[in-house]
Order: sequence, then C-alpha cells, then structure tokens
Amino acid sequence: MTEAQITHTEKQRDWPGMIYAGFFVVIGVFAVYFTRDMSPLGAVFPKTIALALIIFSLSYIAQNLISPGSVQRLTTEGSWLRRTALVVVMLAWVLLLNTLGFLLAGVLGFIGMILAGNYDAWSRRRVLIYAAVSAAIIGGFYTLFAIVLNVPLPEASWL
Amino acid sequence: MLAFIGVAAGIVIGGLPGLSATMAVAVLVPITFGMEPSSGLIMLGAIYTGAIYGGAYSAILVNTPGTPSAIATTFDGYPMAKRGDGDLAVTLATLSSVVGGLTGAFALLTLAPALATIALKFGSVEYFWLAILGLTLISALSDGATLKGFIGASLGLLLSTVGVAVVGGDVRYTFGSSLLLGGVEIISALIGLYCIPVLIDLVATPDPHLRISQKSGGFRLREAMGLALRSKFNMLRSAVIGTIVAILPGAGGSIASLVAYSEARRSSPRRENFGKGEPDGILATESANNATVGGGFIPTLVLGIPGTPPDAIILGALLVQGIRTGPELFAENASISYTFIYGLLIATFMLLPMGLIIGRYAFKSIIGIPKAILAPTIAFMTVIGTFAIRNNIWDVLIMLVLGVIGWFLNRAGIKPSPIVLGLILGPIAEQGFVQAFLMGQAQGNVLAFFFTGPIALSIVAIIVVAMVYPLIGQTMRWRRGLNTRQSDD
Repeated sequence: MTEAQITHTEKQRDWPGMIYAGFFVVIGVFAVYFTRDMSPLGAVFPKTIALALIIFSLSYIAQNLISPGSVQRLTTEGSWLRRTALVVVMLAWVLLLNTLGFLLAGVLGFIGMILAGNYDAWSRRRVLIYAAVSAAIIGGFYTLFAIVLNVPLPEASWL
Repeated sequence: MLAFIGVAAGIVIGGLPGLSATMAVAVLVPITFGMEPSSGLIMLGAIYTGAIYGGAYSAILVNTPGTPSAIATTFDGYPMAKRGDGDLAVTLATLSSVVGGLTGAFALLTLAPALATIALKFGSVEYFWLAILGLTLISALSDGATLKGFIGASLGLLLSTVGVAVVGGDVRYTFGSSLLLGGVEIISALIGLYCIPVLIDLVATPDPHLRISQKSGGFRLREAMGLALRSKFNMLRSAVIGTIVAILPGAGGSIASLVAYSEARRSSPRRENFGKGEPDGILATESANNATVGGGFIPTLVLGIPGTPPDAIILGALLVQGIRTGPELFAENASISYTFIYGLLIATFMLLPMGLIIGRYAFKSIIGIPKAILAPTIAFMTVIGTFAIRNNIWDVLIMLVLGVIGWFLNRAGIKPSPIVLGLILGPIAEQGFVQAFLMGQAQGNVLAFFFTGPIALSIVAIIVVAMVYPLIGQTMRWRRGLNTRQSDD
C-alpha cells in the first residue's frame, strides 16, 4: 500500500460501491442481451456468468440499503493531475507505437513519465543524470528484446 | 546459472517498494520465451523465490512491504530496525525464508506426484467444479467483502468469454472488431491489473518511503541462528501453514504470512512483544510467505490451477511454451517437471548467501532510485513486456485500459485477484461445463451428471463450505454492528 492509498474502515452505506454495482448490473444486462447472436452452446456460459454478475451486484446493493456494514475505503490522496498525466502519457505512448516506432515513442513516453513523476527541482546535473540513466534503460531493454530475444518491435511507419 | 540470475533479479525487483513478486514475474516472463521450457521455468521459479524474499528488505528497513507477502513482516521488522536491529532482522528474514522455501519445495517434490495420481481421475465435471472451487475460495478469502469478491470473479469470467469460444467456436463480445477475436490475453491483463494501479499511485505523491534506515551494521549471523533455533517449531509451523494456504488457489503469500503471524503470536510466550520488534514475528511471516512458492506450484503444475498470482503468470508462460499443465505434465514431461523442482530447491539455497550480501550492500542504492526514473522504468517494462507476448500493440492498449479500470475498481474495494482468477479459470470452467453438459444430455440427465462421483461431490462440499462460511461471518458482523447502533440509539 502506497502513500496514496490510505485505508479507512467506516460503518455506513457504501454509495460508491453501490454505484459500481449498478454499473455492473447494466453490463450484465448488456452481456445477456448480446448472447442472442450466439449459438445455444456458446451462449450458455456467458449468459450464466452475466446473470451471476447481476445477482451479486443486486445483492450488494440490497445488502447496503437494508443493513450497511463496515466498509473499507481507500482514500485517494496525492495529485490527480499527475495521475491523469501518467495515464495520458502512457496512452499516447501506446497509440504512437505504430507511427513513431518503438524506440522514438519509448523515448518520448519515458520523458513524459519523468516529467509526471519528478518532484525535485531541475538542475543541469539532474537533467544530465536522468538523460544518461534513461538512455541506458531504454537502450538496455531495446537491445535485450529487439536484438537478443528477436522480438519484432514496431518500426516507424513513416521511415 | 539461470537460478543465480533469477534469484538476483527477483531480489532486486522484490526489494523495490510497489514492485510485487507478481510484477517481477510478469515483466520478466517474456525473457524466458526464447529459452528451453525447463530453463525458462527454472528462471521464473528463481525470480519468484527471490522476489518474495526481496520484499522483506523494504518491509524491515523502511516499513514498506516490497511485496504484498511482506505486509506482516513490517509489524516486527520495522520496530527492530528502528531500535538498531535492522541488520539482525534482515538476517532473520533470510534464514526463515530459506527454511520456508525449502519446506514448500520439498512439499512440491513429495506431494505433487501423489496429487497427480488423484488428478488423473478428474473428468470434465471435476474440472468444472475445481474451477468453481478456485473462484469461490478467492471470493471467500475477500474477508469482509465477499460479495465484491464474487462480483470481481464474475467480471473476470465474463472477460474470459470475449473472443472465439473454447467449445463451439462462437465469436463472442467482439462487437465486430477483429482485434478482440483473440480474447483478452491473460498476461496482458495481469500486468495491467497489478502494475498500472501501482504506477498511477506511484507518481501521485512525493515518496517519503524512500528514506533509508541508517542503523544497519553487519550480518549478525550467529545471533540470528541462535534466535532461529530457539524458534524452530515456529518456523516449521509457519512454513507448513504457508504451504497449505498456497495450495488453495488464489490465497497467496499475504494471507499465508498473516495466518502464520497470528498463529505465532497466539502460541508465543512473548506474545506481548509482537508488534514491538519480536524476532519470532519475522521468522513466522518470512517462513510462511516463502513456503508459498513451492506450495503454490502444487495446484499450478498438477491441476493447472494457480495457487498464487505469480503462479498464474507462470501458468501463462507454460501455455506459451506449449506445455499443458495437469496430470499429464508429470507423465509426459517428467524431466521438465523435476528439473524445475530441483531448480527451485537450488534457488532457495542460493537465497542465503545472495540475500545476505545483497541485503547488506545493495539495498540502499535500490531504494534510492528517484520516482522520476522508477515510474518510467516500470512503465517501459510493462509496455515492452506486454507487447512481446504476442507482438500485438492492442494487447498493450488492453493492458493499459484494464489497468486504469483496475485502479478504479480497487477504489471500490474490488481487488484484482478475483478478476484475474476469473479470467484464468473461465475457459477451464466453460470447457468442463459444456463437455459435462453435453455428456449429461447424452445420458438423459444433465443435473445428475454434474453430481456424480466421490471427487466431484467432495469438491462441491468444499465449495458450499467456502461460500457459506464467510457469508455467515459477514452476516454476524453486520448484526453485531446493527445491534451496536440500536443500543447507541
């Protein structure tokens, strides 16, 4: 458990949990609905599981409404901006893999992640150290996977 | 040599806070794809052994469990470090990890063939019930949140149905996209659900747990051996607990170490010292969590059901290597199976010198990696590791999406383990269910076919107990809470 995840146990209705459960009921209903396109043999398992999901989710909602118990919560602390930045950087990194190639997308992604995760003041020395370490890590992994293990990593489509 | 490299890599990754044994195995598993199956398995086993042990370093010295298995190690490890016995605590953790690891590996060596004989009697019905048992156990072990455990397992099972059906070849839930035809790749899902939430929280705060305790001195091996000999029964009992808990699919090292810790505290004449720096606490937890390595491989190798999340990844690696686990593994691939088990024993022996040396000299430098480098390094490993599984960029995208969803679900109290177990056990359950359904239909009574034979009935009985027991406990807790509120009113 990191600093950003602090657990609290409270005796009250778990409203976020009920909202999630409601969402899962909708997913379950859709999953049952889409089994109409399947053969009877192929539909039996997903339909059963979807119904189980609906039943468990509804049970959770009912349990919370009738007799709420102790709810363990993870209080989310820390910067939402950095969290969002990390996800956006990773998403862009993945989506640009085909266009920029693994190496260039990796370098840009790595730089983006450094910016998202850095809390220290920037200095010329820090920039140089981070650049050297980043190059060593990216180069090391690239060499290992692309050259040693012969993994066909994506090449830049515009080259 | 592979065991040596694996143990070293595992210790280093396991020692980094936030990087679990599951992550260690997940990100390094593609490296083994190009190896011979037995070599790859030895390396994975060694990585797993080293990672479980490595989690103790940060637990003891900075009060941050490097892996979930080391949660209970913080209870007495950190107080020992605070009072200047950090070096002694690390040595105790090393000794007990070796004892626990050896116990688990010997259990695998001796119990696995016996279990394999029983497993040969398993048909489609038994496999179906076994998959359900795996799911109910993990849900039942979601203490205080049983329904959420069931919801998570159902989500995982539903995800496992995406793509081409295992029986019949139906194309399901692809919404016309060819990208989803292959389904949700298990290792991609594992990396996403376990690694991405950690990454998301890693960058959110400046990390104070990178501070290092400055009280480490030498190995203090003689003193540690004296304490370990004094608590030999405690260590052995904890190792047995760890092995047994690991055999239950989905239980894992964190539960094993917590159970062993509570048992050590209950039976100790020095129970008032527990939580204040009692060496017996470290001996119990580290012995138990390392025993889960060998113990967890028993159901993984013999039945094809992962005992712990890292076992699930190793199971995935076995499938990639074209090896089908189950009773036939010991009959048809005996050399691979036994080479792996002996490799695990060697890796466990290697923990002693390597653990002591790495613990003494390398920890400070590992823990000193700034977040700005740690976060992108982990991200880089997840991206390249996921891509390498099927050379498919969409697997990486699915990994990321599942990771973000996993982060939100974690906030709602739905842990990744039930989802992952559902994803892994889904195809086994479906195949068993459909085959048994068809066979039952041919015999004229489907329902009776599902409840035929002593093994199937025994498993059904365990499922009923596993499902009902925690629900009763939860209901009683709610009633107690209700009574308390009523009396307060």
